[in-house]
Amino acid sequence: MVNKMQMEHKEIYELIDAYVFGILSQDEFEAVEKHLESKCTDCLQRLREVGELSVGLAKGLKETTPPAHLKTSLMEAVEKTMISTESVTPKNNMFQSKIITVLGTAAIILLVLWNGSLNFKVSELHSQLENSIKKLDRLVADNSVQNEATLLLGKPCTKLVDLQGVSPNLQASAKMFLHPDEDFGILYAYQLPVAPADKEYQVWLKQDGIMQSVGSFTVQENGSALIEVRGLQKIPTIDSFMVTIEPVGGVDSPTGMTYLLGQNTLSSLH
Amino acid sequence: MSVTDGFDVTAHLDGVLLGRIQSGDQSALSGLYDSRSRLIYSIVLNIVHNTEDAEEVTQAVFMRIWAKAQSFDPQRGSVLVWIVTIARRLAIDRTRSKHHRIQKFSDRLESVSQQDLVQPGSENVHNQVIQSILVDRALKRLNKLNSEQREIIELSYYCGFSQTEIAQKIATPLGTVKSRLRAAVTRLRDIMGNGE
Repeated sequence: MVNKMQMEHKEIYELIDAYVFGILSQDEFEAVEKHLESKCTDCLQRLREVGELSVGLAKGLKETTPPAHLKTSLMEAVEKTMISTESVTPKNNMFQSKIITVLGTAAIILLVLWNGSLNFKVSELHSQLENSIKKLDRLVADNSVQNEATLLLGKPCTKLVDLQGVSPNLQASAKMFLHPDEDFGILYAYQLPVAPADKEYQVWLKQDGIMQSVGSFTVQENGSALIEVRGLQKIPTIDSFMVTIEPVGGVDSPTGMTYLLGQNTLSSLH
Repeated sequence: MSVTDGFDVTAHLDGVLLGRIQSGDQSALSGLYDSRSRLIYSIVLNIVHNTEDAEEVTQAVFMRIWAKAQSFDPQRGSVLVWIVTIARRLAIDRTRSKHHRIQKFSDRLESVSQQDLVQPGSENVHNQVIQSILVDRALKRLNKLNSEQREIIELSYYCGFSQTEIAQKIATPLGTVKSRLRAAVTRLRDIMGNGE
């Protein structure tokens, strides 16, 4: 005998397509919303799949440009709803709470070291302190790179260089975003293998026949990385970009296997 | 923007911008508008059929994004899926609230037949209406569905009729309409998953 919850799930599951299409009645819509809040995995999976389909169908429509005044009207309406800029937003709260947690951990460790009242090995505490400081550095760096990426991606003349995976790592790929007026670029790499502990990826550019290093990085567990490369000059004259694997700390010229390679064709992003 | 090797730059930008919108960054909302307003406006206009309503609803969509950015749940899909779902719902609600139950294809059929002196109800007129709103790629996908599936997608997705309305319109039991819609969606997923 099917219980009530199983029946409810089955009924809701049958409504997911119509929910995504926006054609449910208010009662049905609310019932689906309530069920989705329970994080039903089957329904969420169907929701994601049909959602992507809906986007695909929408992109099949012939596009019409909205009138210019619409944006002005929207931003004026948004301005009216703005709360005080002095208030702390939840996103900043999350970032700040992470920093507070890491700093708090570091402070407690320092306090324990100073008191000397607990039976910890000093070397173990030093190691934990180092890890906390690395996490803090990473949090600050990640947030900064995201800020820079947002700014660069939004600029009208931002260019895109495609880097392709080199055999046997053909699945790897990367995008280098550059602006002719800036001295930095944003590299988004993905599907790279996680490097061994004593290795890291190093980014090179070739310019006027000379190969130079512009940064190094490690990837996340999913093989992706988002990094800023600085010290770029005369961006239009850069011939190509390359990513190799090298010992941690970097080298002066490429020695390891090449994972990514891309010519600077300066294809426009916009 | 190009989509190569499975990496959608615009989709990544959506996520970055939404994160900034959640922090109250108006410039990020402006950026998202620049990036997605054509698509959203086109979706809305296709449903409400007049520019006045389309402008109001499009603005309402982005105001909803601004107000509800914190409620975005990545488990439910991408940022673009979220935005498109909001747009479709607000547009269809607008047609319902104004008792504006446009017989979309019927109105268009009449309009096209008056212009072209073609008999209303003919297959050619119906196809002309479809062709007027869809790009070639989308038309090819629709043509790969059987007639029942295609009809369901046209009436639900492109016209915005509820399943009950569809059942009445095509004189088919509601349960059949629901199962036919699921089958059509699954078939379309397969078609689009094959890169067609």
